[in-house]
Amino acid sequence: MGKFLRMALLVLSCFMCAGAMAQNQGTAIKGTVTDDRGVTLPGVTVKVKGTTVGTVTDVNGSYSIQVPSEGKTLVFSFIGMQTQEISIGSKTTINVRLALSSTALTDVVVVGYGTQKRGDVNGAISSVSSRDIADIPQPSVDQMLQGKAAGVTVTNNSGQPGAAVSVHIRGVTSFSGTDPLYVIDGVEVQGGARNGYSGGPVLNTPGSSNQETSVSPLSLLNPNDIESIDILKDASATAIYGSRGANGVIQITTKRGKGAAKVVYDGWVGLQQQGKFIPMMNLPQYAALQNRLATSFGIQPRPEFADPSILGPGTNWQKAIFRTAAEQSHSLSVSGGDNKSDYYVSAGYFKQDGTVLGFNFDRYTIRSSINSQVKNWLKMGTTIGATRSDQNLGMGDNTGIIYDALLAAPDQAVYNADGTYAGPFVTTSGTREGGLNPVQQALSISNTSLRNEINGNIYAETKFFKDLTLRSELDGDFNWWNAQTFNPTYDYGSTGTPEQYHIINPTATLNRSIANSTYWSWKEYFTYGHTWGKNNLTVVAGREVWESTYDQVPLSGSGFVAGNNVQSIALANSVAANIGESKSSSSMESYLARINYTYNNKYSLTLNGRSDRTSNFSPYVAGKQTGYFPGGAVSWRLSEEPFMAGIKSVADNIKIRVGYGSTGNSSVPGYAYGAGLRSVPTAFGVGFIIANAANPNLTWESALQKDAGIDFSLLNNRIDVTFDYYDKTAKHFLFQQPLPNFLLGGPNEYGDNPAGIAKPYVNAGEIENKGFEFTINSRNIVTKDFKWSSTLTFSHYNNKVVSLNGAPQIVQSVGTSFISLSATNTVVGYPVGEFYGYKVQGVVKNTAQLQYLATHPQNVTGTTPQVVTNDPSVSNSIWLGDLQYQDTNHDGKVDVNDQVPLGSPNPDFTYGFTNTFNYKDFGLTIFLYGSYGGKILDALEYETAGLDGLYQNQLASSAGFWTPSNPNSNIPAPRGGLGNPNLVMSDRFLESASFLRLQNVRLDYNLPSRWAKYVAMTGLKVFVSGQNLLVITKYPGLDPEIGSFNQNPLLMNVDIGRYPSPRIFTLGVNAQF
Amino acid sequence: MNIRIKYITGLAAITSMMATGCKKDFFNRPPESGTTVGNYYQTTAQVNASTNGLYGAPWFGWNNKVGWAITELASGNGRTYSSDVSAFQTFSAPNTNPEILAAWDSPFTVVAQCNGIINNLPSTVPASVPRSAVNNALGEAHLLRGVAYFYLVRVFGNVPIVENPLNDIANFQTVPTNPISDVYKLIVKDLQFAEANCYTNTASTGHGDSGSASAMLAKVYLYMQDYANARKEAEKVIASGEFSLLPNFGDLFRTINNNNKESILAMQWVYNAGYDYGNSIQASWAYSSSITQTGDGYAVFGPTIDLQNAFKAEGGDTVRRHYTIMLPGSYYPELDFASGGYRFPANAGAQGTNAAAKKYVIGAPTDPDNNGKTNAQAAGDNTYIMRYADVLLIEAEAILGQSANPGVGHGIPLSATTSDPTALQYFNMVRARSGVPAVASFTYQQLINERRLEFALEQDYWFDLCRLDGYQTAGSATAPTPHPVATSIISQQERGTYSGAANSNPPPVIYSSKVTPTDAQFLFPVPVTESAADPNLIKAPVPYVFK
Repeated sequence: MGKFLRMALLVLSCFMCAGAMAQNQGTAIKGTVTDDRGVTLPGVTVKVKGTTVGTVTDVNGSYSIQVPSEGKTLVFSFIGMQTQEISIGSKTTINVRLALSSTALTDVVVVGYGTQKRGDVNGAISSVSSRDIADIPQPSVDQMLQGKAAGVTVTNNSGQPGAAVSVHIRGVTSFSGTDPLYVIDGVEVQGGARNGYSGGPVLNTPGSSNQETSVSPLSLLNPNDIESIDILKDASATAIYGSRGANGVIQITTKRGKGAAKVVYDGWVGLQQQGKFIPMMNLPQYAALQNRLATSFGIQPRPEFADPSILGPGTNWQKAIFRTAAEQSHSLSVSGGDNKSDYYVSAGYFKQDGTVLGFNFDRYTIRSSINSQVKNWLKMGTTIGATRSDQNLGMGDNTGIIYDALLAAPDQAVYNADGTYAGPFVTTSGTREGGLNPVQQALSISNTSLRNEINGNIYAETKFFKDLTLRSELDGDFNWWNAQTFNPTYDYGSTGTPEQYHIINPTATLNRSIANSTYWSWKEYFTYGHTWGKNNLTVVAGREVWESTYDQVPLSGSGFVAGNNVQSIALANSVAANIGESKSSSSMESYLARINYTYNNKYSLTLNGRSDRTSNFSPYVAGKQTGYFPGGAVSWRLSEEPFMAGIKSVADNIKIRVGYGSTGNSSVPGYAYGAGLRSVPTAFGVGFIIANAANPNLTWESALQKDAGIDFSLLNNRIDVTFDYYDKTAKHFLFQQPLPNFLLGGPNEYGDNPAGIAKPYVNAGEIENKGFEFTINSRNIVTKDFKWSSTLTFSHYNNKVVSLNGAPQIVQSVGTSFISLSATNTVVGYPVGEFYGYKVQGVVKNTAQLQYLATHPQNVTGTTPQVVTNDPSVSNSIWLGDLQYQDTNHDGKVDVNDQVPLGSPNPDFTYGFTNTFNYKDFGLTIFLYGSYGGKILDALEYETAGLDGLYQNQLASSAGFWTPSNPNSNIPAPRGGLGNPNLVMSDRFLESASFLRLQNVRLDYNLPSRWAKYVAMTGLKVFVSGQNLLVITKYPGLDPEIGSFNQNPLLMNVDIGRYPSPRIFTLGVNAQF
Repeated sequence: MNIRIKYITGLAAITSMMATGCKKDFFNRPPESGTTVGNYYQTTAQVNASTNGLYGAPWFGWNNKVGWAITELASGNGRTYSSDVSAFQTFSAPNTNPEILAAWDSPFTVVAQCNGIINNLPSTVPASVPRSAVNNALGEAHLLRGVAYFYLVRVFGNVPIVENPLNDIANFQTVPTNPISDVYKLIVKDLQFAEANCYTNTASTGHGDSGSASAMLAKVYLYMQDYANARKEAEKVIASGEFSLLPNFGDLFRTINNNNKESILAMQWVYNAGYDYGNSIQASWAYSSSITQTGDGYAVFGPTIDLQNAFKAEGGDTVRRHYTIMLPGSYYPELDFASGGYRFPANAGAQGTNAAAKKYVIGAPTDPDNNGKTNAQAAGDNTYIMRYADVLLIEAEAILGQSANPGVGHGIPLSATTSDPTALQYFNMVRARSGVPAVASFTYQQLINERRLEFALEQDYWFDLCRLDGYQTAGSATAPTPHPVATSIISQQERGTYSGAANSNPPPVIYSSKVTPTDAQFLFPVPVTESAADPNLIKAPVPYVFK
């Protein structure tokens, strides 16, 4: 590395000497060039306008130039910055601060198999620079994209450290894999819950079926290493990725070395806390409820609860499980480069403790990038990143820690006086009046996930002659994953509880899953670029082959006689009979081509196409394996026309773009086209059962997309606007046919499916997304000392299922405790994942309503109509205080046919609004993110406001339920039994999903370089920031941002105890040496 | 020179690339951790093992909770506060209840796996595999399909008959249910096929055999009130000598006695393959984890006061009572063997009943009965589908039925009596084994009571109650058929709780709870997710076209 460094410095100094020697008369001007934050910029070109005289700034951003006598103006230019001209006058020192040009037309955009200048791009591409996402206290870059790019809807599926994120580019157009393709420095990483590649199995975290277990593939990338992110949204842009581009492509380019060697340290420490708690019943309210339930359940009320008013407040379980947690990030990089070679090496450490007991995330990253022009015809380089993350997933979602804490009885203490965990109250007859101790669960049960990843590439570019280059590239992505849950032995109970009524686990169990996946690809493609006259032509053509493999081995054992401390399968008393293995692979071969032709910088045409052959479809049926994906776009730079010259100062850079293209999706498990047999353990030894129903005709899903966009600048480039309208239709999309279980069997009640035959994958139906999006960048005030700029991104789409190929609906259930609630029905004419059920008419409050119900029967449970009676022995009764549902079809009765669509989880629009203020060396950024419209199914309330079971705490707001003495209440009276008629799927628990979040406020101070150099630095910045400071929402749950449950697009915005996103305060420093 | 090198480099890259990936094998990727339908069923060993998977995991959903929730809680043998299954004791389980779905999914999973063998085996198996092996495998698949449908028709009434799911996949949303009579017809056909094609005298391996099919046929005919055929099949089984009563009733429920001489057909569980593969009943039922010693033992099942009284009424019926339910002071030397046995505490009681379940509560891995074969939520003891005592009582009942001759669709009067020597012989064989005195005649009420005490907690009594009013083929959840006899029995059952422990002072009183089901509640609702996907499931049934 030192050699590189020396070489870089040498080259640079020679360069500067040469520059200096060329000038020998006129005025000497010197100064320092910095960026808008005062960080010195090496390598800035300084030219005297109208001459050939020029130089570049040195390591410290300083320059000195001999201006010839005819020189009047200095021109400062640097990539990514706005070029600035300054008249010399009589000055001898000119210090310049260059402003960013994030939308500058000269920016380079990574378009896939090459780059283009922003001004030449014909497709819909959004870009986010490293500055936009710098120092956001999130582990994963996908989270940081929230609100930063129009047309990209980012939702955190969970606030737990390292959790997966739903990224939907222009809506949901598939049921199988809705995440975009991530390309990190050319290496394709499939997002989503699927392990690293399209069609891969979902990682199975052992021992949890109702929990958010998917992890973000991008949480393995250190955000500090990112230089820029380009999001290819429309098909004319993504068609070059063919089969893999159906959900859009996110290109991530990591940092390269440039200019003089520099060492950069970025670090911050933060504190996280839970911003909101749900008001649950305190002990007096809980006691009153238990008394009332005892009456309606026909059991003896507890004597201690005879007078609730004398009781204390009881345990606040939310306070017991939430904590203030620390977070820190440190990143160190060394980089540099010259016109021959460049290098970038970094190391990072990130640590986030969860705000809920039992969760945390630690990550270690290193990354290096080296590029060199070895010969004048040969350029080579490599990028390698390695990551290790160590995560404690805790226990989340349904029956997880938050869920348990909300329902935990307030009469139970967290700890006994002797420091042991307290258990529930036990009656003299031995009934435990409460459940597990959530704190004990959180602190005793470990659920860990350890991931290692190596990701990188090596390439060579051979220049055959001036216009023709061949790029040969080998990419690899290798993952090792090790997940383990350990449920230790324990024995606890409340003080005085006889031991036989303790909560005891005498046998520890360990479940472990060891997985690895590999991905390699090999690309060979030619790039031909030629300019003649006013014509410019670029052609890319090549071939790519990739293969990925996946292997997961689950292990389990129980009975750890040596104790709970050594959690190894080697110490298990009893190991599972069969150690399973889940192994698969997938391959693809592609041919791709792109032609860009521009005439006179005004008219431009892009054509691209790709053919993909995949192993996921049948090799035995002709024409199923290969798909063809063409795309194209044209643009017209209207502002370059002579007739527009007059308004250039008002409106400039006007470009009209129109694109059309097709992309595909093949993300199904391998061998879905044939019938497999799976081995199962049986009492007779191994047995083989049918694993899946075959569909030999399975083939590509395709998405057709039209896009029309316009870019323009207003008021002398003070305002930049990009607007796009699109119409994206997915056809023959791939999904597992929603067959009823009587045909092929079904899962066991906790979602496992060890014996049922998996339903066949089919190509069927049609989903469309129509929408528009825009970005407005505005430099509102630009003065020497004070600057104010704003960026607004806005995304809107309408998602609609056009056809399901005859299937009436796709029902998706979700588990809330022991109930499987049919939460959504995806039906034709409505969005994917539409909430579906009954509409509540109201609480039955008077005899007139009862008389009506006697003649207009209500049957919402599919059994028999509810009998109008107050007789407690009649189970299926309806009486005062119960819920009456709407007769939506007006047939005089309420039954299954009165279920209707109740609302969509999709927002009407999402928006991000960033305001940046700079005053001298201070900067202030305020970022607001909002989502408007859409519904949340607060399924947690089926438990927390169900009023249907003993010994569970309930929402404080439920205390005012209907009673004869509270006859105006709209909260139904308590009623026993899960899934009783008051608790069927209805709009009762649908809530508004709209929110506006003060996502980030950040104040920074740049130490001026003239001072920084006294501490041997070229730049120093300190900042304080607050993340998620304020949320304005009507949603009564912990956090209105729900996301998709384990990336399932049919289960969006269903809250079953989601881990809320924390509020974070950070203090950080960026130092450059 | 440079020129040449760069072209060579470039050409080499292109050529070597073209050489990769073009092979057809690169795109042909069969399963790597499984096999395929086309590659299996190739040897006799593979064909014999092809039915291994039909006896365990597919039944898990039924056996785990809903099997006993329906048969024991609804029938009044047990009670619980546990909210996941408590609705079954009050007949209020809605179509959204996940256990209702399990009761549907699990037997249909068995049907699906049986269909997989029935439809794939004949076309795949080579001629080198002996015909008898192929026939036996097909026979077992038919046997278990018939048995699964027998559960389905008794729980749900009209259900769709699926013999080849691939025929219905394209129009799944319009598949109708088929009438109860057609489902019984399919069951009889399947069992007859099994009787004719399965190996004989192999039930002791755990695989169902021809004798298993005959015994199941006897039971099905009995439900159909075809007493002549029921007798014929029962007598066939009795005459074969393949099965016999175990001398000691208690030996029936020891893990080491899986697939004993009395076992005709059973679900076969694996103790060390985890949840979904083991018998989880002990986990739910055992009174405490000091019995299971695997951390489970949740005592969610309490024997009703009504069941306790039923044992008392038979003079204590001490042997069967002892091995069926625990009462305060009951002592089990075989449980917690290492500590010298387990005594049910004087102040103990599950779910307010001052008693707890014993059947299927088998103890710790270290207890000699289990030989290590239990685990948390996964024990290795079989769940009986049918045992030989049932055949004897079927024979006795069929004889009584023939003499009472109530006519199909009408139940045998409870007062009907017989002193037929054959009937008495078998009736008294069952009684004698349990140490209860022989009788000189018995009424139908006595016979049903005998069945209740013999098979309590073995997932049978509810089905007996349902058939008391005869073989009713017209019923559906929406158009119920009358069940006056069963309703009157159920409505008198004491399903309440005791106010305190048995040894409390003053002595506990009963908080009474009685339930009267409606006729419609003798069948359970089709799960909502199923009727949502196929609305025809809750419409009138359509006659099935048999091939």
